[in-house]
Amino acid sequence: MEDIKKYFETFLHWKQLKMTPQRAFILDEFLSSQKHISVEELHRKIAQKDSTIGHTTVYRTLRLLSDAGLAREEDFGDGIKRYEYESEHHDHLICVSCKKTVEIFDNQIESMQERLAEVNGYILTGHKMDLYGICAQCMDKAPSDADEDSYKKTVNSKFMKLSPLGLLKNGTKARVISFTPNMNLPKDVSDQRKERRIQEMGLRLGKTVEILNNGARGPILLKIDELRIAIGRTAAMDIMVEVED
Amino acid sequence: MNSMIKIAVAGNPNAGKSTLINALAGTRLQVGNWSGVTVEKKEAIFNYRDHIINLVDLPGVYSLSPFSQEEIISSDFLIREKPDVIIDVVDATNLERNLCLTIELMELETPMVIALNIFDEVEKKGYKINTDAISELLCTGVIPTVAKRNIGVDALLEAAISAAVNRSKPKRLIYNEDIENAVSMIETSIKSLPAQGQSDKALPRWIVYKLMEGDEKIRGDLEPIGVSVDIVSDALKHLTDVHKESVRDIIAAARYAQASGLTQEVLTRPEIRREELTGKIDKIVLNKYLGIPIFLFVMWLVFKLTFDISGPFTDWINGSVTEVLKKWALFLILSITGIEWLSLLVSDGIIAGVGFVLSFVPVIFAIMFFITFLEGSGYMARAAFVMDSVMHIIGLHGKSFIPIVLGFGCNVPAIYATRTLENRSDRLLTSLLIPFISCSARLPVYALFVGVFFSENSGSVLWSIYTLGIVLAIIVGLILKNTLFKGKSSFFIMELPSYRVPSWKNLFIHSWEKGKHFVVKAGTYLLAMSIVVWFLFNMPFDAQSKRDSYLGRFSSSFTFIFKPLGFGNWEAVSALITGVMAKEAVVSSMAEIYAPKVNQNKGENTLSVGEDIKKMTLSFFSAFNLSLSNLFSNIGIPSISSKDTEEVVNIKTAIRKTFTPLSAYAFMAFVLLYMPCIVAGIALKQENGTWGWFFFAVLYQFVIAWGIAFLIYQGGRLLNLES
Repeated sequence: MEDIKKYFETFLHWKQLKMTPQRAFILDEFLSSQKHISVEELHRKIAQKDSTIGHTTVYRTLRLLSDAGLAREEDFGDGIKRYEYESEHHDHLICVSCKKTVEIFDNQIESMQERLAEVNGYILTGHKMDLYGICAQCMDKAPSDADEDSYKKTVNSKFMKLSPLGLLKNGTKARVISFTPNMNLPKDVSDQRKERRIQEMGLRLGKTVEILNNGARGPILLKIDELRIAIGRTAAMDIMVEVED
Repeated sequence: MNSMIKIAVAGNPNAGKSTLINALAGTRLQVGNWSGVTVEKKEAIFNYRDHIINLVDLPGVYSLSPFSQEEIISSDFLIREKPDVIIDVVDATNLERNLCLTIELMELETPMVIALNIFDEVEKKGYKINTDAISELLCTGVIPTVAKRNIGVDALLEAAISAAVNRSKPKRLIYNEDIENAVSMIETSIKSLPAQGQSDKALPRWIVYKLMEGDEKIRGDLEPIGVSVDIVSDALKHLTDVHKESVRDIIAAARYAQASGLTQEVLTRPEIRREELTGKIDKIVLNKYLGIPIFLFVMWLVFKLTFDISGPFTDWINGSVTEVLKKWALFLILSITGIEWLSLLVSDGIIAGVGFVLSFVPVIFAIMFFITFLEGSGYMARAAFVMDSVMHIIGLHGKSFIPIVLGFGCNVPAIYATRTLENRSDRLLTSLLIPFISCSARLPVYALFVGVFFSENSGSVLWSIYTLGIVLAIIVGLILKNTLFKGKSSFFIMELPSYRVPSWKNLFIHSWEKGKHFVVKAGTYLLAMSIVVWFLFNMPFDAQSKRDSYLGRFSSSFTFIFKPLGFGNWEAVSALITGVMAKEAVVSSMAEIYAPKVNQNKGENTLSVGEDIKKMTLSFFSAFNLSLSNLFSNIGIPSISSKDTEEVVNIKTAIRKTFTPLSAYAFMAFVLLYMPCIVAGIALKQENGTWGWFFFAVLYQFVIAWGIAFLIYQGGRLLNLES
């Protein structure tokens, strides 16, 4: 416990901040709480003992802990951020259908990540890895053709060169796979409209596009058959493509 | 006598539709608006062989989905007005994309002819399109056309007429079994309705598909015959169960599939493709470093050419034509009726007003000509591309830059040009920023004051005024984006058409259309205003000086507002009030006030018709000459006023007495900002629908103008610049 506090103090010092009694208190409470605690939950717990500590302070301190690599920020798809102390590190396997989450750990992956950081000249302070898939129960529940397809897509995506359109370099050719980065989320009306508009302009699902001009800023110029289409960067980041060789 | 054949012309944007329309109807085209909206409507009625043709141009659309104004107009027209035949203009170089609309239009089950436009480029690229196959597969006439060079236009019209006369419907395409089953279920249940008053005729496929997509409007239309939600939802059950997508997506995908299948069947591309010219030009024009400089250079060139070419003609209209006409009107009316005020009203009120409107004509036409050229050549879309990241700063897309640049010429066409923007709030925000851009009408005011007070460094003072406008546009844009227009930025997608050399005929027809629109719209208001102002300025008739006129008295009571700005005198205020009509009226009013004309005509007796006509013609040719030589002369800002008449000297002396350099600068800034001229204001109202935004613009601009002029004047005084 003491060396965690020591480490956090060093981190704060490096950020030109100080270890205030409030921060120390929040750290203690956080470390002694159960796994995956949300800001609200932690604040409620703290407020019972010290009502002077506000919600914002708790939130900010948790962010600092997260920056320091002491807390892991998680979002299991319900929009609520939960935090967890990184004592024993583990990653997550999340079912896209029922949101069930399993903790996983693999030494080989961990050491490969260390090496990747090292190669790029980084010292690793933390990481999070969430793998998405369909859990066994969900798979047993009478998979229809469409589910099978999306499952295959998810599985294959690791082997395909899947990328947002906006990240491709000039001259790259790629096939349009999806108009949203998350294929499993339902589309709302504005998404549908946008998708429709993009498709009408000629940027259709399954079409091969060539990147003609992708600068650091501004829109991206694409060529589809004989068409030249300029698309805004934000929209282009939402379009998922499979890079062709 | 044959009855009228109604032809609707539909097609994608950039398919060369308007060129084709021009080739078909030429000068017989009437330009108006679709009722209730600001989308342009072109229509022509003419005789061809023994038919009366009513040609209606539909807005360029990618589909008939109900998402944009243009799409709603097109589908409403096609459904309600029931044209006899549709001409579908297809860009043959982009067959697949264009055919999607074709497929959708076929669902309307109206006789149809396909114009495979821009066919020359298809041949140039070495592509082969099997037109017979298209015709056979779709059961429509297919005519290759090159609208730019009038090729295939007559054949197209013939084909359209024969399709209309024979009532030959295009083929009903079967998309897939599931869709087909749902359609037949709906059709059977509609047929079995007791109130099926519509005879045995089945509904066009397009309507059935719209019902399936859940289109409220179409369903509402069919409610009287008993079509209910249940009929539709029952039929869709299987379709949505199997496909797990919205019906709209299923049908759209089916159409795309048809279009791409058809394209594969009829189009052969050569194996080896050389890099096209468009690609090569784009590499330079859209280059990371060169893009913006090239764009700025192009814009500078456009403005230089516009003003160089139109300047001499403007002077000619102002000088020769208006002056001569005024002289004659004054003489004739005075000698016939003997009523002095009437002759003055006609000459100084009406003819001066008309002349004033006419003096806009050369510059408006010239600028429209170049803008049309940039649009037609394909560069305009590149400009939008290049400027997009810059415009993002104030929450607008690159497309907005074009109207804003147009604002330097005249705010009015600039505000009209916001139509090209898709999103309503983008249109509004852009048109609210345009008045900050110093239009050419404000230039005479600056020219006068700069000439009097800053002749040493006129260039930099002028530049600073223009820059002030731009900087304020950016600041206000930022403020509006973060307040009224928060989070409303839409996503950006735009087609960059291939580069093409626009044809002269089209350039002239389009600039004529755009220019005419301005002259008629703006001209009417300007004329009315100029008569009103004349009355205010000259009544009561027994006034000893302009100060005692209604306008003078009115202005005198408001001078206190302008005291802190350094020009709290009735002369300046009167001039500003007349400037509401049009900013350059500030100058002519000052002329009236400071150098009232003594009735100089009475003494002169040079009223010889021959002499005047000779003078007008001669000066026209010298204007023409000057305009040509300007074109080839070395680069530089055209001189604003080369020679001062006696009148101008008088005004300048008077101005020097009432203004200091500092208050003159504050005055210029005020003129730049205080409100869009009445015509621009009306354009703003027309384009955005409500008077609310008009008053908002007037008010916030006035506040900004006052604030800036105050800062300049009082700040300058603090810095001891008042001399």
